Amino acid sequence: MRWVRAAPRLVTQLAERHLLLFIVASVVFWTLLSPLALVWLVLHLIDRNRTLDNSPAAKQQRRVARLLRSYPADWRARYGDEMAALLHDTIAARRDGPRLGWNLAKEGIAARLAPPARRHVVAGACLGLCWLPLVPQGVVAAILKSIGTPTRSWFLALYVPNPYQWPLIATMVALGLAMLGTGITLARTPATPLPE
Amino acid sequence: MSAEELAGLGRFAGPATLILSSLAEGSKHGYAITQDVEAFAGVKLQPGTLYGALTRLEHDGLIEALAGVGRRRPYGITPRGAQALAAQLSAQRHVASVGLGRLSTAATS
Repeated sequence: MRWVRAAPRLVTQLAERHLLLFIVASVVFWTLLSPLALVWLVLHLIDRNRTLDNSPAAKQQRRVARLLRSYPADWRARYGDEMAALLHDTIAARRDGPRLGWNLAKEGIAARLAPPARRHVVAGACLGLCWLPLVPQGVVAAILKSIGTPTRSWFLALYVPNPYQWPLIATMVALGLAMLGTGITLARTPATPLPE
Repeated sequence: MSAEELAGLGRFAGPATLILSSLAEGSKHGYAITQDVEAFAGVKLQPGTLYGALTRLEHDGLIEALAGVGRRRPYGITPRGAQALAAQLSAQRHVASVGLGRLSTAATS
């Protein structure tokens, strides 16, 4: 893991101190090593898939485990078994579909945000940072673009090619509003600790 | 006990009323609740929504977890839950009767 963390720094040092070696290493990596790594990854996945139990029951078991992964560990410790039983019943009755996955992902995130401390941190981060995309990167950038000022300063949207400027401004405004809405919602709705 | 107790559950108020109405008949586990709610109300409760509401209701003492058979754990309504449900349904009945009365008045005039 230390090597993985140090990799970007080592690559930068190699590029700065030994440019020729860096170029050779890059060519070797992109032409030889990366295809080999890709082939190894594919073979590994095929091998892993072959060793897996592919009976319908085992597949369903794995699917239920995947669906429950969005919930926090303490929630799963309390409700995991009974929820798994409900999901097995639901899948057996063919009442599963994309809505099931979406519903569990959404509720899993809500359960992760249930502890008051975590909720306050996320609400505080949303309310504290939403103004950055909303006002300077959204509203002010829109005003500057509308009046056609040559000043670009640190307004991100004014640096991208012209056709992408309005979409980026709209994205920034939407992001800011989404963060503001999330922050207000989290701050207003009471948290639900797990029952004793 | 007032109708506000269930209304205070926010986005779970609707599912909570359906779940408590189902449990008013007797204790049930998760899948039986979804089947029953679909039968009497025509609403398909998704598992995530069901357990989100069950967590809130259990935390608020309106339902209780009972000893289960295997992995399925049944839930039962508590006396406090029964009072909250009665208050909520009375409030809804009042709204329904006022709304239907006004609709019939508007239709005849």
